[in-house]
Amino acid sequence: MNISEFLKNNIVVLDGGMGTLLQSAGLAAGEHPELWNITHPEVIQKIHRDYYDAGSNIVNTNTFGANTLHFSHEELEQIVKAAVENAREAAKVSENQCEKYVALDIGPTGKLLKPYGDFDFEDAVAVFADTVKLGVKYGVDLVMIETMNDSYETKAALLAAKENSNLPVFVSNAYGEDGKLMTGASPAAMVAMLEGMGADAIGVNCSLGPKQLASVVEEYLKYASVPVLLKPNAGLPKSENGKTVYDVGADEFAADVKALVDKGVRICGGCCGTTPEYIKALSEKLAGSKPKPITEKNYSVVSSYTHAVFFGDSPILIGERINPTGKKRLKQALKDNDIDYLLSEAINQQEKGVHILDVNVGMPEIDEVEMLKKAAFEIQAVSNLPLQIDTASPVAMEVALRRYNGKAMVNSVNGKQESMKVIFPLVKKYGGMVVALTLDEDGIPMTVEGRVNIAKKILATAAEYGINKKDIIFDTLTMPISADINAANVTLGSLKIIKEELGCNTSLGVSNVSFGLPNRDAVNGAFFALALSNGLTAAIMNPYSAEMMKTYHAFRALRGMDENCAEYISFAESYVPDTASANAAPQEKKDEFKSALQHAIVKGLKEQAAKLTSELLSSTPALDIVQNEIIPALDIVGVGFEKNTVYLPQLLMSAEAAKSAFEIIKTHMANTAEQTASKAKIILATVHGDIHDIGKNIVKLLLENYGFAVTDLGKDVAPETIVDEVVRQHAPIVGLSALMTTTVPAMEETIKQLRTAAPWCKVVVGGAVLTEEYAAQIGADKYAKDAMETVRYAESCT
Amino acid sequence: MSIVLTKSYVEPPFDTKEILRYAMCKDADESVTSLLNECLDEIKGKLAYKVCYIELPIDALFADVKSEVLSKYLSDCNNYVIFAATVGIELDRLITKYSRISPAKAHMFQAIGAERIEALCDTFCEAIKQEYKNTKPRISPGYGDMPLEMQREIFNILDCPRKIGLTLNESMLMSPTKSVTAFIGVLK
Repeated sequence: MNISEFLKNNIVVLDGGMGTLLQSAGLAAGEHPELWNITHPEVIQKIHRDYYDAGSNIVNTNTFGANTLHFSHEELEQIVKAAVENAREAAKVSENQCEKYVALDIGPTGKLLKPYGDFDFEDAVAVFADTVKLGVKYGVDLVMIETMNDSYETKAALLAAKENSNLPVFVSNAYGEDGKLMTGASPAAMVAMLEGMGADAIGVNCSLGPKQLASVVEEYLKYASVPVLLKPNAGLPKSENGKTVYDVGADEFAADVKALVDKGVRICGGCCGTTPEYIKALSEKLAGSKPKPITEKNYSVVSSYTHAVFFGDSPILIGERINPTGKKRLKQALKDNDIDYLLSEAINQQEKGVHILDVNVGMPEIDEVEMLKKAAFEIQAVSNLPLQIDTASPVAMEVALRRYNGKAMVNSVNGKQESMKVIFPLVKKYGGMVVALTLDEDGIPMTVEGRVNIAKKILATAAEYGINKKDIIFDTLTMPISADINAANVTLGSLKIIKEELGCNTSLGVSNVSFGLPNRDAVNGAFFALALSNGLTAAIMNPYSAEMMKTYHAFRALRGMDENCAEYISFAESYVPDTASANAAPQEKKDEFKSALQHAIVKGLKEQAAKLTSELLSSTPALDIVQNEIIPALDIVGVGFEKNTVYLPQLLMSAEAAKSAFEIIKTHMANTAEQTASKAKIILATVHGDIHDIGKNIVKLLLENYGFAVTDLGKDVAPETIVDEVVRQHAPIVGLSALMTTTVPAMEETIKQLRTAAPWCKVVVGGAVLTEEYAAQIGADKYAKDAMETVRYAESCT
Repeated sequence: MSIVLTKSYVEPPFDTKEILRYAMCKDADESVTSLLNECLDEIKGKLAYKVCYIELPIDALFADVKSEVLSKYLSDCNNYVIFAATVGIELDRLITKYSRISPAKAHMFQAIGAERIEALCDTFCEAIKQEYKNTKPRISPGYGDMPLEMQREIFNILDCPRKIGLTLNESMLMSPTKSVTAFIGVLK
């Protein structure tokens, strides 16, 4: 009987701790336990055998840290081969008659993935893939991914296991006392992602004892439709008279774990501090227990790297602002590779209260695959909202879904065979909740019946791919009522039937309904209210629209979703009509400055600087505002900084105020033909191996304020990438930043390569460890001690 | 045989003067103060304060490290405590977020992070001092002639990724960035 069959009708017992047993057998601190498979096979076999004898159905190979980051490929192969043989041998000699299996144990790499670390997602997948392939080659029965404390690394490991084996894959995460992974994911978020990707069993191990893990396990049992696993520590370690002891004994441990098996856990064992004695106590305690049947849960859910978002109760708002259709400023930003603009839209929408961000970067002049990959990655670094990946390109869709840290919304599939054939396999592989448009080869039906029939066809086809209807959300297509007076009726009619008769979730892009009409907000708000009362689960909408937000909050209060109307009240209190704030500009002493705008910039008042700039634009050309207002104000602050009368935080606040003024000017220019000339091109990067970029970002902000065309290559940038970009743009200046002594060699190498490939280019360097001498020694043209000095240098070069 | 222990602490009090010093701001005007307060409101209660540590005899490790500073530091000790401390990933998240939209805030969070990790180390060292009585002030790799490469062995012994979610990259940088590894000598 294979493990999957055994799991169907039995409680599966795992093994216990390995590390502590190896230490008492003589493993030194800091020594790689995996090497003991080869050097001390008898010790490893004995431990495995003791676990089988104690009642374990599955033992994990001694391969927790066996990967190509720690060992050469040849070494790794020997280790995995020996590890599997040791476990097999133990199974053979054990006298216990129970079913026995060998799991390939895979632990975390010990590296943090980008964006917070320097380890690339695909590199992580490749590292795990090597170990998985060897496990398959030497004949393990299943793969056990365990002790993962980061959701992104967990995804990389699961993807590697699924892509390189047909074996069952169990996935177990390590939760902290706060009930979350180290990088913040909640149990519900992990269940959503792991089930979406097809994990065969999921659960929890390490960190804490069974009592402290109980609440996390209960969350798993609530949300998971696959078997749940539990492998806790023997409580917490403490020092007692110079000896280390764990505070939960074998009998108490067994009783605590059994209590959770009674609640539905199907696979259980122990982690740190547990020994064969614990497993024996556990398997004796479980003798005669009946496994609780596993039921299919009916949650429609997406997730980010921190939390899950559930569909069906309260309406879900999906922010539509990151989609270039009809948005000139965003189009301009995409053309200019101005990711910061996208990020500010992401953050602003989150602050307005949306639950999910739609991300669409498709437009003719840009490489959509690269841009979507980059945008999704960067947005996830600044916002923890789940994303809706919105693209017509299946290639871009796959790239984005693969690297998405969670379970995404997929926008979209439709009733065309061609569409379903490419999108459903992606949803099956990477997980996701897919938006299904009710149109097909014959176009958009103009009747309710036509749209509902397409929905039925989509559901049937999805089922063939193994996609459950809870992971499909129907968009019955909003059409402008100005073109067809019956349009909204058909949309809403289809919506109601799909919700009530097919039992599916629904979504609409709301704003399209008012296309071609004046005062569109009024129509949108009313349509949104109608759609909600007809069963709309989610809306793709503009959260900056007051009408939409009013409708949302009022609807929730009216439908009893808002306890004590508390959220409505707080929304209403914070809501300020546009006209009220217009004359709030303070009149404090501005004599020392030429104008109110200068005053706002010098004092670092962002909102005011933006507002004053838009007022000025009605009477003054954009270029004059820059030349006569913004630059002189920045100079006041810059000179103050150089004289030590203004400090860095104040300089930065002024720079930000100037930036918000520039933002207004950019939007103005995107909408009119007016152009400003930029100064020279400058390439900026934090060098390879270095992940600090605050200093570099400060330099960038100031350079942009002074009108330079800055290309920011980001942090941890390879020398080749920097050289290529300098050559491509024929940039006259490049700025490099390094914070650590260990990354200065990468800076030196970059300069060396620049000298050969781009001899015209001036190199300015900065960062905590650099000095004037050090900079000269590695061949830089200039050491700048701060951002202002970089600006002065750039100006002197051009 | 001694093993790695972990500790979590409650939030130590914030020292705003110290934060402003790290922010390179000698005197804070109204706008800087309100920026600082905004940042503090955003961060309070969101950080983890975790330490993992082990006590070892001084000859157990670092056989091939040549550092006069370390030899001298340990010359009057039999044992030392090696520890790693972190305030967690949340500060990195905020710094990453704001460095794209508000460098002033990013800068302030950077300063808060510097103050936080020092406060955590002080709290931990005080507890160790209570336990072991005669201890020396902590020192870290990178100080004097102590090579940063010692980080590898420290991470190996302490199993930092698993114990407190702290990782090390090829350049010996730690993530989360607001983290410290150090030695505390226990006097003979």
